[in-house]
Amino acid sequence: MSIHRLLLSLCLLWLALPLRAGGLTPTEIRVGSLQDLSGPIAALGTHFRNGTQMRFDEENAQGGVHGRQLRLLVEDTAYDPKRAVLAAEKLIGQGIFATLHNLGSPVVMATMPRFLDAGVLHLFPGAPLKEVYDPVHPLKFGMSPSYTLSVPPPARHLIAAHGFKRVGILYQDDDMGREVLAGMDALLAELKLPWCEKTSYKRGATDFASQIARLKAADCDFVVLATVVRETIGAYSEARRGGWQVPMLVTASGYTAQVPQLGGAAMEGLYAAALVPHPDPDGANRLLAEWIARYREKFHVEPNTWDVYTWVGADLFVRALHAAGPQPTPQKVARALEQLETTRDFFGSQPIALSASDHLALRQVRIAQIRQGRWENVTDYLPIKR
Amino acid sequence: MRRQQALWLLAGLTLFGAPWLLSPWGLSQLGFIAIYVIAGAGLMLLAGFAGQLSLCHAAFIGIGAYVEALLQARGWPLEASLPASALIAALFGVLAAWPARRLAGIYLAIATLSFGFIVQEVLARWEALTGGNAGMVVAAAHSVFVPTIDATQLVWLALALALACLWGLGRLLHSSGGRAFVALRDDAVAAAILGVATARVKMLAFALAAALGGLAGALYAHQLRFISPEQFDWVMSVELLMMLVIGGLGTRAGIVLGAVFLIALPQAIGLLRDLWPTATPPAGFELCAFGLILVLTLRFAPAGLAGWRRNL
Repeated sequence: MSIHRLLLSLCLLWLALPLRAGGLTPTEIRVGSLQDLSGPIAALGTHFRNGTQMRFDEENAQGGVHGRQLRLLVEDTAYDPKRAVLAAEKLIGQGIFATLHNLGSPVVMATMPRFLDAGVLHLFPGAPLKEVYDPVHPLKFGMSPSYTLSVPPPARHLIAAHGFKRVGILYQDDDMGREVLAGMDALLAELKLPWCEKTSYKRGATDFASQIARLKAADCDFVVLATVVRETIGAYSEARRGGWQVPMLVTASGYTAQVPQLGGAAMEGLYAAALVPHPDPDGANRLLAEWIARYREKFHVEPNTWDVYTWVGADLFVRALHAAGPQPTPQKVARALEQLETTRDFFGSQPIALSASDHLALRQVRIAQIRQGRWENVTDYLPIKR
Repeated sequence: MRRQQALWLLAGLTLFGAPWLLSPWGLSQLGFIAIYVIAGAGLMLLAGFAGQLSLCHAAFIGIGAYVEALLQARGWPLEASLPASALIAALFGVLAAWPARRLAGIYLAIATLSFGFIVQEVLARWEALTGGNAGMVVAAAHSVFVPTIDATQLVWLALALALACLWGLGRLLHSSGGRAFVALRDDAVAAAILGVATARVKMLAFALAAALGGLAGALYAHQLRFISPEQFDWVMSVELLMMLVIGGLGTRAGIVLGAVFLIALPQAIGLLRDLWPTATPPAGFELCAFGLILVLTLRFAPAGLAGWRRNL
C-alpha cells in the first residue's frame, strides 16, 4: 500500500471512529468541560478544572451519587472557538450528561447551542454573559452576572459611603470593558453624576502612564478599573507611583490572589467586586483549612478564587443529582436545580436560590479590599439590581 | 492510468459518502478541513505560486464571514450571499495589493500584517454593523432550494467547493496566467523583462486569494455559528501559512495534507491524552505534543508532507 492510500485510509478511519453513547451508566456519570489549558487564559483554566475535580473527587470518595462515580472529561480549547466546537462535538459523541464551567465568552457562544440541541445540561460557564441564563432555557444555567450588573452595586455603595462626585473609568477596549462602561453609564445617570473622565487601553497593554495621567489631570476622586489581573497591577501601581492616592474599584476579574502577590505593597487599598470568596489560609475555619491542605496535596499549587467559583458550581450540580433520584435525566436535574436553596458554605459563599424563572446563581456581590497584602471583605453581600 | 482514475473515483465516493457515516465530531472535522483547504488554496496561489508573503489572509476570511452573516441575516439566499462574500473579499484583496505592488519579502509581510490589523479593528469598532468585540451569532444557512441547510449538507457544500478550488488551481497553473504567477515568484525582474505586468499580476493574485479566503470565511461562519473579530487575527494567518509549509509549499496535495495535519492532529492527540493514567493530565499536554510533532515533521520532511510522500 502506498503512503498516499495509507494516509487516506487512516483519515477516513479516524473520522468515523465509533463513539460511546449515553452519559449515564450504572457506575458512572460523565460530565464534560471545555477549558483553556494552553491559551491566553490558561491560568484561569487550570483552576477551573481543579475546582471542579476537587468537588467530584470529594463526592466519589463518599461513594458517588446514588452509587455512580462522577467522571470529568476535560477538553483543552486554547480559547479558540474552532477547537471548542470540535471539542464540544467530541464530548457530545462521548455521551456526556452535562457540561460544566466551560470557559471563555467566544467558546461558550460557539458551543452552547450545540450542547443544548443535543439535550446536554449547560451549567455555570465561566463567561459573564447574559445569554448563558437569559432567556430562560430548561437546560441552561448561569453562574455569574454580566459585568453590566455586577460592577454598579459596589460602585454605588462606595460613592454613597464616601460622597464621591468625580467618577472616572479606565476600561479595556473590548466586550468586557464596554459592559462595565455600560453598567456605570446607567448608574451615573441614575445618580445624576456626569463622567469626570473615561479612558481606555488595548488588550495586552503594559504601560498605563498616559491613561493615569489623564484621569489624574481630570481630578477624579474615584476610579473604576475595568481591567484584568496584569492591567490592574499596572494601572494601580502607576497611580501610586505618581503619588496619586485615589480610591479605585476593580471588577471581579481583578479579585484574585495574584493581584496582591504580584503587585506587592503598591496594591494596598484597592477595592474589588467579589462574587465568590477567596480561599485565604490566614484565618481559615477548620473545614476551609482542611480543604486547602487537600487541594495543595492534590494539585501542588495554591487554590484561588476560581477554584471556589467552580467548586460551588460543581456542588450545585452534585446536590441536584442527589435530589433527582437514582435515575436522573438532564430534565430531572434541571428541575432539581430550580428547587435548590443553599446557605453559606465553609468558604463563605453567598446563598443561592435558583428558580424556574431565574437561572442565574450568583445574584449578590460584595466589596473586598487589599489590606496588608491580602483581600479582606469590606461589606457583606449587596444585591444586584436587574 | 485507469487504475489511478478508479482509485480517485473511489476516494471521491468515499469522501462524499463520509458525511452520512461520520459522527458529528468527525463531520465537524471534515467540514473544517474542507474550509481550510479552500482558504489554503487561496494562500497557496498567493504565497506558494506567486511568491507573495501575505500575513492578512485571516482578514479576508473574516470579511467573507461577516459579509455572509450579514447578508444571510437580511434574507439573501446562499446562492447570492456566497458569491457576494467572495467578491467583496476580492475587492479588499485589491485594496491590500495596492500598497503591496512595489513591496516584497519582509516589507510585504509587514504591509499585509498591518492591513490585517486594520480590518480586525474595523470589525471590532463598527459595532452597529458587526456587534463589535461581543461578536455575532450566525444562523444556519438557507438557500433558494433548501430552507435550512443542516450540518451534513454544509459539509457536502464545503467538500464540493474545496475540490472545485483544487481543480481550478490546477487548471490555472497550466494557463498563461498561472505561469505568470510562477514567473513572478521565481524572478520578478526577469518576469517584467519578459513582458509580465508584475504589478497587475500581483494584484490579480491578491484578488483571487482574497476571494477564496472570503468563500472559506462564509462557510466558516455557518460552520462555527458564532463569529467575533478576535477569531480573524494574525495568529490565524500564521496558522494558515504554517499549514501550507507543513503540507508542502507549492503543491495542491500539500494544501490537503496541511489542513488534515492542522485540524485532525490535535484531535488525535486529544484521544491519546484520554488514555492518560490519572484523571487530570498535565495542562498544555496537547500543545506540547503538537509542537513536538510539528518540529519533527519539519525536521524529517523539510519539503512538507507532500514532498515527504514523493521521496518515499
